Amino acid sequence: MVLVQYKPTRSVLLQLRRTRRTAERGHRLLKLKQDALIVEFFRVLERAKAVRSNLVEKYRVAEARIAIARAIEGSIGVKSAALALTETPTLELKTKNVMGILVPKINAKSVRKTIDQRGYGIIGTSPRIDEAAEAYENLVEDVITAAEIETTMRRLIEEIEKVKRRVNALEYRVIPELKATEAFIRQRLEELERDNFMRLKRFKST
Amino acid sequence: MAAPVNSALPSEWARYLRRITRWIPIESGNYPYVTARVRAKKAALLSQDTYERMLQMEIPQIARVLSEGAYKAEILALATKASGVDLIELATSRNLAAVYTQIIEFSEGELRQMIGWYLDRFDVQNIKTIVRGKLFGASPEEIEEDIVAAGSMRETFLRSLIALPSLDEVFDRLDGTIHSQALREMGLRPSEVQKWNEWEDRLTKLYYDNLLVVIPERTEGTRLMREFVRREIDIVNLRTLLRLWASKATLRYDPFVDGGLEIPKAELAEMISLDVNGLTARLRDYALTEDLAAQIKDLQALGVGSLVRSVEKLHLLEAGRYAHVHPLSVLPILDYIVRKDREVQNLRIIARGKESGLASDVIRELLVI
Repeated sequence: MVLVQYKPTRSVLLQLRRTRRTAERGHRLLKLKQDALIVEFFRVLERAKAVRSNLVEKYRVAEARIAIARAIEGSIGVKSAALALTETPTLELKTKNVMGILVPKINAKSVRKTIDQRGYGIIGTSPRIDEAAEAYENLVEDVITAAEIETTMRRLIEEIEKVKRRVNALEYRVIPELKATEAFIRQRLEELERDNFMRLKRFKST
Repeated sequence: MAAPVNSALPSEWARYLRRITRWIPIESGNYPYVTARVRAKKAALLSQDTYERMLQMEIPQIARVLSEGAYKAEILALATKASGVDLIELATSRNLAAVYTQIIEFSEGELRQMIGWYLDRFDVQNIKTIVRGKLFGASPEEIEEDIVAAGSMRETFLRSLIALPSLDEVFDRLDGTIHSQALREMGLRPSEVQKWNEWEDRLTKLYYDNLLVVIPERTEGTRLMREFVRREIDIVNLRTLLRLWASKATLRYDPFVDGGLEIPKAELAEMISLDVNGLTARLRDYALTEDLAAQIKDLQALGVGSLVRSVEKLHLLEAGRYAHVHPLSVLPILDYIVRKDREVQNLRIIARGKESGLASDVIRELLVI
């Protein structure tokens, strides 16, 4: 029990009062942080939903386009065109700070390519291959954006959980215990004061 | 086959002789024999009803139907290695290669040269695949899977090229062909080339240049074949124009092929920089693109592929139009080659379309029947 750890002295009471005030201030700040994180989370969630539905649609388009390219050019033609690629996309991973949380910031290079950057000659290949390549470039760009947003969302959820645990601990355990201890010490001090007063009175009467 | 352009013109005398013989209406080659063989093969091609029935079938059923006909040997040979759509695609590609090689083998003289050059488009594609595969770092097995030995280069030769460790050695082996000539024109060794798309385009241009050189204009038959090839060049150029126009990309080299029937090369280069209205107006001037011009506004939504497909379909169907008028010319052979290619393409379209869950109407729209 917490009460046992504290000596019922005035200095301890003052120290406890200071601790309680700090805990209450921390609780208020954490509550504000939690609210701000929840607002941020819902903002990111909206973006994530939009990106997700876009991603599904773009995947469907890319699948349809590659199916038509493979149907007309054959998988041999499509694979041969794919082999022509010499410059592969690169990802640069940075971090940014959102309310004290480090979230990823992904910069993709050479995802979207022009016809001459794809490596294959323009005369002998079919425009269906271009269309499929373009659809997949769009898809990859969206996958990267989705990865960034969804990781941010996951980090936010983890942080909200952590802050919630702290707020609850302060609200339902630490602050009430400090208050109880404070009340106990105050009571003990008052009792001691009453004892002293009675003792002094008895001395005076004798 | 696959010789460089320059080797065909060694001296002034040869050039003079060539100019004279181009106008003598005699062709060398075993036309009666080849056309009779090809006519028999043509009778075995799949009919329109069969395609309609296949559109209602599942992929294993299509494979079974094919294994009972002309594709039996290939389907049986590959059934242990592949299945489903891959089996159909591999079997039809191998059958195509076998049939074309057979036609080249039983043709003689100038006829053989013409057919050989026409079919060398497969060699061009194969060499491009080998180069791309080696640059990408694909394994020899992977590259071999993508080879269709339907041109004049034998499968064993192509395999030996795949087995070579470097591109320098590959091009040493290809010395004296248009493949190495295209590289020579760039003035680079294979190891010095940064962007291979220029080489690919130069190669395709050389292929068409040589094809036009090798088809004389002596008879009505060869004149019509030449016209067919020149129309194909128009379509290739149109495709290039629309792709460059839509992507607003600029190339360091000239991407258009010489010798088109209707659209001059100089005008194509000018059209890349035009706006929608300007391009529509210019395309209306040509019979080939008259109907297409109205759709240019919707190019971004429709895509270049679907826009050009209607023109390609008409072109492919045109090949057979004069075949019966000139029965002992190169035209029935060309007609068969185009029909066979169309059959393989149609089978692939049905199988791949079914695999991807495309609607029957979409698949039917892609077919050339």
